[in-house]
This record gives sequence, structure tokens and C-alpha cells, in this order.
Amino acid sequence: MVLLLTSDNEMFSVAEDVIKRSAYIKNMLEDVGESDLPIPLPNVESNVLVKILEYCEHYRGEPLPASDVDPAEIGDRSLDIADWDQKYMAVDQEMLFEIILAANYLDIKSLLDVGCKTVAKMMKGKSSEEIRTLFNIANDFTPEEEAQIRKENAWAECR
Amino acid sequence: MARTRGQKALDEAGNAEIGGTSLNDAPGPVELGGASTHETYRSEPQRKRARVTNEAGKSIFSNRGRSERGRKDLSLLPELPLDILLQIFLMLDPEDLLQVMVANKDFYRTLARPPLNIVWKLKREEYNAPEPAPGFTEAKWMAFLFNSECCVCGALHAGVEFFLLKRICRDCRKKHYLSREDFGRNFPDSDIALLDFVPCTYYGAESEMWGGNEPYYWEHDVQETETAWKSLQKDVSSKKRGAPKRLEAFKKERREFIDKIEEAADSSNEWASYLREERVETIIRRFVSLGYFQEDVRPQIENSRHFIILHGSANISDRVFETLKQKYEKSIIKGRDERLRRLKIKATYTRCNILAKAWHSWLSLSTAPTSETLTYPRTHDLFHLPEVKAILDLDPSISVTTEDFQPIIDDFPNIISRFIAQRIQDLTNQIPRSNYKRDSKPHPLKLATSVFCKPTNLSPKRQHNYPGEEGEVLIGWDMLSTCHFSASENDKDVLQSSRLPVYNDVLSQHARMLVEDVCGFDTYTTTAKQMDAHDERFYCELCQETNDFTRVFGGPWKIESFTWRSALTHAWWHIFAEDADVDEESLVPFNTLDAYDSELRERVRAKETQKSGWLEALPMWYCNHCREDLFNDPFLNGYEDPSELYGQSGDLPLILKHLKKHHKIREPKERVDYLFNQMCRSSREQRVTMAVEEGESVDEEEEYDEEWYTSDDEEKEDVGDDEDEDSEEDGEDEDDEENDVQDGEDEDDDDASADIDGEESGGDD
Repeated sequence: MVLLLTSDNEMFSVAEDVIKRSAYIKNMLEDVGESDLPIPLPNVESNVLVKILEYCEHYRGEPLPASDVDPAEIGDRSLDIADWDQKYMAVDQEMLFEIILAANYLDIKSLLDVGCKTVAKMMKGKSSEEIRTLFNIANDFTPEEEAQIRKENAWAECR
Repeated sequence: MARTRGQKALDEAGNAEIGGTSLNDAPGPVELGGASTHETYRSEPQRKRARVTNEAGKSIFSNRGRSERGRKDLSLLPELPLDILLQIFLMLDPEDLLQVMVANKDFYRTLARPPLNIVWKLKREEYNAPEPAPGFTEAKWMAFLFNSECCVCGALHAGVEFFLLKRICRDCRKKHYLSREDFGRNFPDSDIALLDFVPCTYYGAESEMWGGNEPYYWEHDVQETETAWKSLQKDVSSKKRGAPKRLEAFKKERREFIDKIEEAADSSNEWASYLREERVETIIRRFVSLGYFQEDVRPQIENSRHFIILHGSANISDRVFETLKQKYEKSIIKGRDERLRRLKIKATYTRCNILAKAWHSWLSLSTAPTSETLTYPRTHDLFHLPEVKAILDLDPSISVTTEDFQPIIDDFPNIISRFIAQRIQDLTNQIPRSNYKRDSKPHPLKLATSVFCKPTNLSPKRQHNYPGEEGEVLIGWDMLSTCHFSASENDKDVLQSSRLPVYNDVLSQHARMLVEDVCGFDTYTTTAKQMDAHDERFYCELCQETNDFTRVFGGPWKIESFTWRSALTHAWWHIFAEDADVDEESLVPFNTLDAYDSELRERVRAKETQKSGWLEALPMWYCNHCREDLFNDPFLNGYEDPSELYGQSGDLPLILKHLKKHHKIREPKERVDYLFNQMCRSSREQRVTMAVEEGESVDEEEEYDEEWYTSDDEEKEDVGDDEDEDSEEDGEDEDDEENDVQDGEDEDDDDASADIDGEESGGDD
């Protein structure tokens, strides 16, 4: 078992074959060897780690991706997401954001890829106004700036 | 940390430092249009983390109401580590990226500036798009390629013109394209040579897809070039120092610029064309994914000149697809339905053909005389049998063979019986109960007072081919059993269906008048055959009043003679024709020709007995021993209207020759060896117009229209006698033996017909 200490000081005891989906932990275990000391995860809060572990648990036993192969590079440019992954990613934007950051931090490539795809899928086919609404962002262009952009680039608002 | 594709791309782009770069201090939107001269992002510590503050320690998204609670959402996207951002952006299509870019300044700066502006180059490479044209940054070039607004009016889905490096809608092309001729008009003071230094296209305003020979210039480009040109010319004229050199440099620069554009334009157009094909294919795939067949979708999409289909990349957003769906789904469904309909029609005809062949094969082996087979169902009647329909309606993909129809073929005798029985029932049901006595003998369908008309809703083709005239009456089982009519229920019907003769009560009342009042017979027992045998001639008192009146004023004194059947048709014209002059409640008065002038009748008869050449040439006759002509089935011959089946009887000389040659009958006899085609009865019995006084002549035109009644071919009956005594005929060449066969009704051994005859026979007992 591997002990993990989250940024909010919660301790998690996790089976090694589960957490080894994280290349970061896997490398650390290989470097440090067996230890009773918890691995600190200062960038991951406990609620996020719970979610991350749910993913690792689901894919427990599945072959790990080769360390030098990036899923995004394999050519999977489509935004198709497996059913389970879609359900897994059906979280609020804050959690989605945290999962992506945690997956990046813990170096779980497949999870990071799913996270990025989820965000890309949210953006796909949206107009800039819809993107603003979706991501809760204000249009901070001045009318002059917007007009300039339009003039220079003939931007399409509606597709 | 995960080393993403984005990370690698950044590395390759020479941005090894991928720390959390705050882009808040990046220049504004103008950057996008020009070269990136502000590549001043600062490297920060290697550890990637969400960037929520700017250098001043303040949240750059403080206006989004999350910072106080430390809430993070996707508005923080620009704060994600750059390699993650790049990974996300690389998953988006150029059109999506362009929308993200203008969502707000953060996104704009993120995508417009290094290092993430590498995404545009990567996207261009991914799409195999041409290199940016002179004066374009990667981002602006992608905007040029993938946006769709007209650079003049902002209209959406404008086409790109690579020779002019502009995206222009058709209307603006029309408005702002200049031909060389236009130049002469619009710039009368300018040297046309300057057009050599203005980009031009050979794709006209109306034909973005096909180039021609005439160059078109963009008005604004011409104006700009003209201004520069004039200024330089002026400098040269005023002998300013270095002016000639500047002019030459200008020319050289412009020429090089245009050469570059033209060099790239062809391949760019090729790329755009490929993109268009890809887009079309993607649209087709999207429809196919909805369950439509490619063969239904492709023609609609490929043949469309709609700008949404023609312009844009293969990345069809749900919104665009929804628009396309609304626009094309109906026509796709229509196309599909039409295709399926054609398939179904083809399959139906193939199957019908199988049954039709089997039916005719069966008929050819049948020993029944033609007089009987004429009462059989027509081929198209078989197609409407439920058991046949079940096979015809099978999915077109299912193969159907004769074996599938075998149970039906085996049941042909019963099908025929049921068909005739049903016909008798359907026709009888139309006759008011008051028109015949209970247990009427003879059968109501044989009565002279049961008058039917041919159905009115026949197809025009059928109407045209049918030899009878409008208002033709069908009386007696001979006619009712052998005159078959058909039509489609509606335009979409593949097969014709039968139409029954329609009972006409008004004409039946006229028949009662003729039978009872004029001829003095019993309306409840007098049959059509007996009235035929009585062979009386009538005239219309109503018309004769006019004819007599005409004579008073010096016109020809004529009289029109009718058989009892043609008299009823004449009554129809008085009552039901467009220029009817008698209402339905009244009777058109008729009397016998004898009553008018007994000599006239003899003259009429004499005229009738003269055979008309063309009447004989009409296909009015059947061989009763074989059904050779029956197999001349239009359905089998590929005609669409199977209703013409059995209507192809031959002319009399042909039938007589056939009887002598093939059946070795020296003296063929009507009803025994050959039959009159009842469908042609009205042609045979048309009125005869006679001059009342010998020596007078009637109009030539009317003479031409006259038909001749061949009385020697009709049997004679004593009206008061029973039907079985019909055989005692006064025909000149008929004997008892012939009569037994001639009277099909009496000899009919068909179950259903026997029903009619049985009743009649019962009356004899």
C-alpha cells in the first residue's frame, strides 16, 4: 500500500497497482523504494484525489500507456470519449479544472487526455458568445477593439 | 508531470520554458493582424500550476465572482499550464479556435501571442493548408481560410478568392469587381498599364467555381494602386530625385507580390476544393449517421450550390448541421421515399409479371370458350386479391418466384368463381329493390330495365382507348359480365383496379318507358336480350320537334333512328351532358319509328344492313375457340396500364380468316365460333340519321358519323317467350345447334353465371 498526503492533510492508503497509473507516483516509488512515509501531494486536495483514485481504480489492471507515448500524439484527434469516461467527467467545471490539473501533476496521461477532450468538446461548435456564457466569462473587448478585430479578420460570429 | 503533445509542440517551437506565463500584459487585438513583434512572454518556474493571479497578485478574473471563495472554473482556462492549453486547442478545429480567440482578451492574448500562437501553424499543417500568403500571419491566414464572413459586408459563408486574397460574397463581387472595360469607364484619366500591378482573378462574380478568360480586379485594390501610381508618376514628372527608381521599385515589388499570389493561388484553390469535398463527405456522413442512406443523401448534398455546403472546412458544427438538416432533411426523405417507391414499383411489376405469365399459361391450357373466359377476372384484378397483395407487398429485397404464387395458381378456378359471384352481387346490389320482383326471374341483371353506365372515373388513357361514347349504357349480363373497366385510385397507385359499371336510375326509368309504354312489354320480365331480339327502332320526339321545325324553315327534313340501347344513350345526352336540356325528373319522350312512318323503318334497316368497311375493321370480334388475342396483354408487353387487357379483339375478316385457317371451320358462325366484343356495342349501335323524304339528303358530316347496325348478326327473340326459348331465332344462318352455344348465358357452366342462369331456368319450370 502507498500512503498519499493531500494538500488539506488527508491521508490516503492506496494499492500500489492502482496508483501506479500515475507516472509521477510510479517513478517516485521506483526511485525511493518501499517506504512507510506518505507521499505529499501539495497540489491535490482530498476531494480531487478521491476522484482521481476512482479513475485509477476503474482502470486497475489495464495496461499502462508506454511512458514515452503521449495519447494525444497517437493521432486520436477525435473528441470521442468512452462512455464511462464521459460519466466520470460529468462534474462541475471546478472539479473538471482540478482533475485536469491533478492529472497533469500526477502525470496520468490518459486522464489528462480525457480532461482536455472534455473541455474541447464543450467548446466545439460554439460561437464566441456561447463560449462566454459556458465559461462564465465577460466580453472585455471594447466595442472599438471588437470592431477592429472584425474588420481585420472578418470574424464569423455565427457558424 | 505529463509531457503532453502540447508540451512537445512548444518544445519544437523553441519554447522550452513552459512555466506559467502571465499573458495579461500582452498587447491587444492588433497583434493578430501583424507580425508578432512582442514575443516577450516571461518564463516562470517549471512547476505547472493554475495561474490565478497576475504579477500584482490580483486575480485577473476577479470579475467572475469566484475568487473570494477560491472557486475555480473553466474561465480560468487561460491560466492552465500552456502545454495543457495547447493540447486542448489542438483538439479544436480552426473555426472553434477562432471563436475561442475572440471570447475575451485573455483567450485572445493566449492564442495571438507566442508561445501558443504556434497552434495556428500546427493547425495549418494538420489541414494541409497552403502557406500564408504575403502579409499574413499564421493566425490571420487561418482566419482568412476558415472564417466565412465577407470582408466587405460581413455576410456569412462568403467564398474565398485566393487570387485577390479576399473573402467576398457574391453580391460584393458583383459590386466591386472591375473588368478592364470598367477600368476605362471608372478611371478615365489613368493608364490601363497600371492594372498589370493589381492582383486579378479569372473567376467572375457569378462563377466562383469556374474560371474564364477575362480578368477581374478588386475596385479598392485598383484605387490604392492608382493612388500610389499617380503619386509616383507625379514625382517622376516633377523630376524629384530618385523618383524613377522608386517607381521602378514599386513596379517590381507589386509584380513580385502578384506573382507570389498567383503562384500560390492555384494550389490554394486546389486545397479549398479538396476541403469542400471533405466537407461534403462529412455532411453526407452526418446524415448517414442519422440512418439515411448515402444514395439518398449524396445527390441532395453534392448537387447543392448552397453556400453552407460550399464554404468551410469539414468540421461541421452541430449548429451548422442542424441548419443543413432543416434545409435538406425533407428533400432527402423525399428522395428516399421516391427511391423506395421506384424500387417497390419495380419489384411489384416483376412480381405481377410472374403472376401474369402464370395466369396466361393457365388460361392457355383452359378448354373454356372465349365467351366464358371473357367473364374471368382481368390480370390486374388478380393483383388486388389479398393473397396476391401479401406477396406483392413483400419487401422489394425479397426474391419472389412462381413457386410463391403456386397456391394462388392452384386456386385459379375458385378465384374465378368468387370473382364472378362478387361481380354479380356488387352489380345487383346497385339496383333498387323496387326495380324487380322478389325471386326475380329472370335475374335482375338480365332485365332490360337494369341500366348501367360505364364508370366515370377512368383514367384519361383508358377513356381515350375505350371505343364507347360518353353516356354509353351497359344492359344485360352479356355486357355486364364482359365489359371490364379499370382505373387507378390515385396517381401514386402502381396498379389499376377494376371499376364496376354504375347503375343509372334515370336511364332505367327510360328503359321502363321504352319496354312498357312504347313496346308494351312487362318491365319485370323483359330481358335485354329480348329487347335486342325485338329489334325495334325509335326516334326521339323531342329532337324530332326540332327537326320538323327546321323543315318549316327550309332545312333538311331528317329523323334520327335509335336502337333501344342507343335511345337510352341519347336520353343520357339530353339529361346529363354539359348542354343538357332535360332535367332528371323528366323523361325524354321516344316512340317507335313505325309510329312515325312505317316506310322509314324499312329504309333505316336497308341502310343499316349496308356494311361499313371501317366498322368491320374495328376490333369487335373474338375467336371463341382460342384466346390468342387475349395473350396480347399490355401488361406483359410492358405497358403500364393493364386495363387494356382483353380489349384487343380483332376485326371480323381477321377472325374469320383465323377460324378457317387455324380451326378449319368453313363457315364460322357468330356466338359459336366467334363473338362480338360487347365493349364495342355502342359503336355498332349508333343512331342512324335519315332524310324523312326519299331523295333528300342529310348533311355529309352526319353521314360520315353514322354507324351501321348489322342486324343479320343479331339473334331474334320472341319477347314473350322464356329465355330458354331464345334459341328459336330468326337469324338467317343460325340453327338450333348454334343457338345452344351462342347463348352464353344459357350455356354458361360457370358456377356464378349458373346462378344467374339457374334463376332464369327456374322461371322456365
